[in-house]
Amino acid sequence: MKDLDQLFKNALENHTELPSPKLWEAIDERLNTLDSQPIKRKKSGHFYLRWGAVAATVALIATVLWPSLTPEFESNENSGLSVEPSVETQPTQKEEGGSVSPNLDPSVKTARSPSVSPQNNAMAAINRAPSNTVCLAKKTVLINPLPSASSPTLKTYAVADLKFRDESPSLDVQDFAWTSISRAEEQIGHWIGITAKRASQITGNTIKQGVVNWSSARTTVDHTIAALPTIKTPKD
Amino acid sequence: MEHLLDACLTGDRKAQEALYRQMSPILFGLCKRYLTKREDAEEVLSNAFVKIFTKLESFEKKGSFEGWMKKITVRECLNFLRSKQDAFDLDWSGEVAAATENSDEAAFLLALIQSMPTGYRTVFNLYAIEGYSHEEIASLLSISKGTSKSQLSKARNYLKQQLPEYRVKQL
Repeated sequence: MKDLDQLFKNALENHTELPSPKLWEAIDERLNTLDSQPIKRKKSGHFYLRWGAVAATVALIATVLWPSLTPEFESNENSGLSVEPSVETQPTQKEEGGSVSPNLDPSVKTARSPSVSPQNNAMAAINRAPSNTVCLAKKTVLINPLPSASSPTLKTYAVADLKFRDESPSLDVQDFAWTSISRAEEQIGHWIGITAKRASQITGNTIKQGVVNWSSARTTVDHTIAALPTIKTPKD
Repeated sequence: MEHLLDACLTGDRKAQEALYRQMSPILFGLCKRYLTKREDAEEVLSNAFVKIFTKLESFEKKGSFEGWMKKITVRECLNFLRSKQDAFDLDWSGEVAAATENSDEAAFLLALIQSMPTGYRTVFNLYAIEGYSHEEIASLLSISKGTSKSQLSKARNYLKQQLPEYRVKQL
């Protein structure tokens, strides 16, 4: 059978055939159309995965904790800088087994728009996004300053979050808690940078104050992702 | 080829056209092995070249440029087949190409390949001609390794039956 394969391979591997003479014109036209569109720079998948996962996860925590932190954020909003809230989160509702579920309102909207610095592309992109997206993204930016000038938009976070969940399902089932957002950020930073096994060990021993219910937070973000007009997964 | 590649990287349309003129017969020949209809093959070739030109920056000059272009074209063929409802089916299409012993050998063998159902044809092309492993084929087509093996086996049996007796004796 190898000889049969070889017979076809020898005859057809470099078999050539001319396409229609007009085909280049069609390709040329498509390339012209693409040239006239703005260039979208694309980061590597690793970049999206790492920072997107951090941002999306922090955004989830922030969404859940937002009501108790609103005054802190508003006072810092105009600076456009990172906020390190010092308040302890207050449990709002007891659940079975002593865990606490926060108030979750998927349709929550920001009270007012943040001031947009011309240098801050991320904020500009966020302001163009749907209202429920704005809320989520604004908090992400405030809490977690973006790693570079070429900031990914929230759509990128959403994609990265989905990808993250697909590729690391073992990180997706924990209830975890931190004493403050800054503590959460610090924890997640470590968490993403280590193996899934180690992450699981860490989340099994998180501090039991200001608890965030992970499955509720997931529901919120799933609604948000579903509301995005389009999500394009970066491909190679 | 390298100077052409460098010029294409700058977006030089004349260089892109030169690359197209040079490579389109080879890549179109490849498309014809996967797709039976000429217009489908041309559509896929067009998509492949747009992708080649827009993804050129991602080509690392470690391997063969021609090989990289072929890989993109194969993937475009598979994407096209996947977009069709009967993608990778196991049934005969009923569209048997006019393969006659009087054709030149390449044309005759191509017609034989084209006369097979999509599933057989795709797996045979990927395994016997492109050199992919069953594991890679299973991943590319979202099928099991066993399915890939059985389709290859059936394709081989069919092709062997269709070959003229004197050619079979030479194998």
